This record gives sequence, C-alpha cells and structure tokens, in this order.
Amino acid sequence: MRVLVTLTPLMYREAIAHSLRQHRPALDLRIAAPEVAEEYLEAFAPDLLVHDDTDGLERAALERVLSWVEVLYSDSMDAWIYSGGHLNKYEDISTAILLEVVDELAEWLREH
Amino acid sequence: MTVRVVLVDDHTMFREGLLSILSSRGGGIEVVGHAPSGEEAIALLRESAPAVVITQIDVDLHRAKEVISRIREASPHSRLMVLTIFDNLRYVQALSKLGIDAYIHKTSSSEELVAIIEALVREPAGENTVVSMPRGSLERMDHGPMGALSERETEVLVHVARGLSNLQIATEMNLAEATVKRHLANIYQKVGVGSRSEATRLALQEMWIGISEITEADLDGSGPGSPHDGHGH
Repeated sequence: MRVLVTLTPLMYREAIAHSLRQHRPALDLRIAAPEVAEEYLEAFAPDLLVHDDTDGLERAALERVLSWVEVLYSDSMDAWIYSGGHLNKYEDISTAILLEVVDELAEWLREH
Repeated sequence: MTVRVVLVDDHTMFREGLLSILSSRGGGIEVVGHAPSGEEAIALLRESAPAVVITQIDVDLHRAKEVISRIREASPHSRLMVLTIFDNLRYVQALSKLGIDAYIHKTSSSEELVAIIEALVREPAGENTVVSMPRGSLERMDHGPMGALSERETEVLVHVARGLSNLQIATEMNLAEATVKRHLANIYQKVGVGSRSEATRLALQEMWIGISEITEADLDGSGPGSPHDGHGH
C-alpha cells in the first residue's frame, strides 16, 4: 500500500511519516513538499494521501487517491478524512485514528 | 547518559509523531512524558523535572510569555526548546529574553531537532540561545525602523493592526486613551509613517508582527467586536 505525506512544515511531515513507518513498517511511504505534491500524486500514485489544506491541491487531485486525510490548518487543526467512500471530520486527530484509516484501506485493497 | 525529555504540543497526532522520532533514538533520549499544553503539561513537568522540555508555541506573544513563565515555574532547571511557526524577529527576541534555550522553526528537520537536544545537554550551563530558522527568513530579518519601538509601542501597534480604535486599545491595555495617542505619535515618528495603515503595512512587511499574531485574537474571540472587547461596533 502506497502512502504519501505532504504535510507542512517539514518537522511535522517527518514526524507523521516516522510514526506511520514505526507502526506499519510494510507501508510503501514517501514524503514530499507540498510544492511537488501534484508530481508525486502522478508518479507515485499513492493509495492514501496525508496533507493539509494550505497546499493548494484541488479536490480533483484528491479524487486520484482512494483515501485522504486533510489536516485543517485554517480551522483549529481539525481534520477531514475520506475513507471507504465516507467523509468525516475529526477534532484533534490522533495517530490511532490515522492508523485506523491505513488499516481499513489495507483491508479494502486486499479484498479488491 | 540518557536525556530525559518532556514533549508539550496541543496537536495529538503531531505530538505522537515527535514522540515516535525521539523514542527511536535508542538510549540517548528518553521521553518521560508528553501532554497538550495547559494544566496536564504543568503537572507532568512538576512531577518529572526533565532535563529538556520541548514545547510547541504558536500563540501571540502575550500568551507565549505566560506559557513560558508557567513552564519555567514548574520545571526551573529544564532546558527549554520552543517549536514554532513564527518567523518574525520580535518573536525570536522576546522569547530569547524570556530565557528559552532553543528557538526552532517548524520547517527545521527532525534531525536538527535531535541535534539541538544533544547540543543543549552537552553544555548544561550554556547561556546561548540556539536558533534554527529558514535561511530566507533570517536574511530578511533586520531591525529597520521598527527596531526602535519599545515593547509597549509594539504592543500598541499589534492592536492597531488588529483594527482596534484608540479607545479599544486603551481598554485592552489598561491605559488612558491619551497615552495610546502618545504611543501612536511616537510610533509614527520613529518609523517614519503618517497613518495607522502605513504603520501596519510596514510592520507586516518587515515581519515585525505576523499575520497569525493579528488574527489569533479574532480566532479566540478576543478581537475587536468580540463579546469580550467591551465595545462592539
């Protein structure tokens, strides 16, 4: 399963990527600056994108991934999560919630 | 020697991410606790008295000072590292004056974060403040005319930038309206402008104040027109 993390700033991008790698070492995970997010979406074709709402990605770009997590820097750091065809808003997202998204998607990929 | 660290960050996922990085460093760093800011963090600091406190601070200067002073009170011997998104000179200087040991912009890498922890611990009596900032921000920073402003005048200027009237500023700062006017006259003279909007524009251009600092008050409901400002429109 391919995961792309494009959060800003760098320290948070690295922190989330590290956390995911630590808990789910089998993931094919890459990090990229938001400026090159579009290129990575095209070339790496992630199944899951973890990004924030200040990177300027269009909704159309998000349609290229099966699931996405969008941290709302413009709204108290809440997060939208699109997973399994459903869109939900979370307050103060945790690693456990992020891992749930990863696991649900991994299961869906196994079944399809 | 193991460095005992406490992490304070309001955002759970990010705090846990930093915890993951620091905990993976082997025997060198031990994260003895982590918490969102506030009472939970203060209790944790009192209880654990870590060698290093890493705290996220992305609030206006007034609140930043409160946070730092509470941390210092709870754990006076800890080296204090601040993680922030602010990259304006006044913020760096003000926090440095409060005796922080490291000012780390969040565009810094996690490797830099670890290196700074190690550097601080290697020199426990060090009196320098370590600053990790984007090169571009540092290059743009200079005192310019804004550097001549006193702390009080800068505070007035932040309120001006928030759109408060002289009367509202006076109420906010517990001053007489005439004193606010005098501060404003001094500001205009020192920075060479003739109006509130020019002063605001210059302060923003020179990054003496930040957009977040101006909008923070609106977000927390303490800005002009909020139920707390006592004036309305």
